[in-house]
Amino acid sequence: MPIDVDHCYRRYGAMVYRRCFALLKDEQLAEDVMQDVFVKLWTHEERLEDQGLSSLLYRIATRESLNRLRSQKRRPETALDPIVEQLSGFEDEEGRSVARQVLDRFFGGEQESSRVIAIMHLHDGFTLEQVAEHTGMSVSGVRKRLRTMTEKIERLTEEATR
Amino acid sequence: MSRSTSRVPDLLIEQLLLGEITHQDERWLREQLSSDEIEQRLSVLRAANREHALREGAEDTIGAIHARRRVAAARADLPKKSARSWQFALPGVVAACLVLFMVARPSGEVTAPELTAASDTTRVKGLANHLVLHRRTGDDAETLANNARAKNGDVLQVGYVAAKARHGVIFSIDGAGAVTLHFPEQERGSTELEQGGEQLLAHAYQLDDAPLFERFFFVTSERALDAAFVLKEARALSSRGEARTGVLSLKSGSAQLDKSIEQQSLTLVKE
Repeated sequence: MPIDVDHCYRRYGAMVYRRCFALLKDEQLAEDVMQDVFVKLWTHEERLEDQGLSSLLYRIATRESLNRLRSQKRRPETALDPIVEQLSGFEDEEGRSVARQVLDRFFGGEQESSRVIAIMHLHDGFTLEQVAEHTGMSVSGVRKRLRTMTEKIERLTEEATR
Repeated sequence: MSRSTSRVPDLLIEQLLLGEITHQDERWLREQLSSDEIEQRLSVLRAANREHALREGAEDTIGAIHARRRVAAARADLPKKSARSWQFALPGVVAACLVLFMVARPSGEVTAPELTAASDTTRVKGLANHLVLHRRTGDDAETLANNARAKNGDVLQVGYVAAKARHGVIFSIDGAGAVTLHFPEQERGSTELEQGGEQLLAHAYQLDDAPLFERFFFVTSERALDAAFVLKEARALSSRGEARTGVLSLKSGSAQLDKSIEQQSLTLVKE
C-alpha cells in the first residue's frame, strides 16, 4: 500500500510533533525528528493495515526521539529522568544526578523496543496490556522485558551510589 | 471520580480525536477520566492542532520530508519493496521441525532419559503434537530446529501443531531463570488448542539478552490444563537449576490423574 505522505502529514503531523516534543523538550529537535518519523514510515509500507496509523507513528516517534536523546552529548533534563527517579526513589539534586547517569547507562545498553516499552509504561502510563496491544507484542513478553529492566535499573542505581 | 489526568496516555486522547481509538481503550479511558476531563483534553488538542497548522508551513514540511526520503534512499540504495510481508513459513510437511518428546508415565511424572546436555535425542514425529519456532529474517522467516543458535533481539513466532491434544500450555525458560508464558496469554486463560495444522500465536516474541539459552516447552493434554499450576512447576524447575535439560514434575494437582499429559521442548542456544 503506497504511502500518501501529504495526507499522512496533514492528519498526523501535529500528533507526531507533540510526541517528539514531549520527550525531547526542544522545538527544533522535535521538528527535526518529526520529519524523520514520516521518512521512516516508508519502511513500514508493506506492513500497513487498514486501521489508522496513529499507533505506528506514535511508536516510531517514541523510538526516534529516544535514539536522538542517546546521540546527544550534552543532554538537558528531559521527560525521561522522572522514570529513573521513580524507580530509584531519589528526590534531591544529587539523587537526580545519579538517576541521569543510571539512565544514560541503562538506555544506552537496551534494545530499541525495550526503550519504547519502558517509556510507554513508566512515562506515558499505558497498562501492560495496552503496551502489548500498541506494540504488537505479547503481554508476557512485555511483562518480562519490564521486569528485567527494573532489575537492571535497581542494580545500576546500587552501583552508582556505592 | 477520576484518577490523575497526568497518567492517562496522551496517545489515547489523540486517538479519540482522530477516531482511531479501539472500543477497549475508549472504555478504559472513560473509566479513568470524567467526560468533562476528556472534553478538556480534546479541546487542548484541537487548539494545539490549529496552532501547529498556523506555525508550520505544511507544504514546506512535506517537501522537506520528501527530500529526506530521497537522501535516505540514495544512501541505503533501497531496493523496490516487494509485495511480500512478514509471512511465516507454513511447511506442508510438519515433520520439517526437529523436536524432543517425552512420554508421561502413569504416575504423572514425565521422564526423558535421553535428555542430557551432551546428547539431546530427537525424533521426527510426522503428525504428533509439537512446537514450532520461526525466526524473522528480513522479509522471510526460517524455521528453527532444536539447539538452533539465536541472539538478543531475534524476533520469533511461536506456534504449535495439535495433532491429537485438545489442550496445551506453552512457556519458555531462559538462561537467567525467567519463566515466560506464551499460551494462553493469561494464566487463567483457556488452554484449548486450535486443531488442523500449524497454528501461530497471535503475537511475536523478541528474545532479550538473557544468557546461554531459551527453552520453549509445550505441555499438552486431552483435558483442560491449569496454566498457573504448569507455570508454578516451571518456576520450580528453574529454581532447581534444571531449566536447560530437566523435565517438569507434573505429579500433583489435577495433572496427577491425567494420563494423556505430555511435555516437550525446543531449545535455542544464545550466542
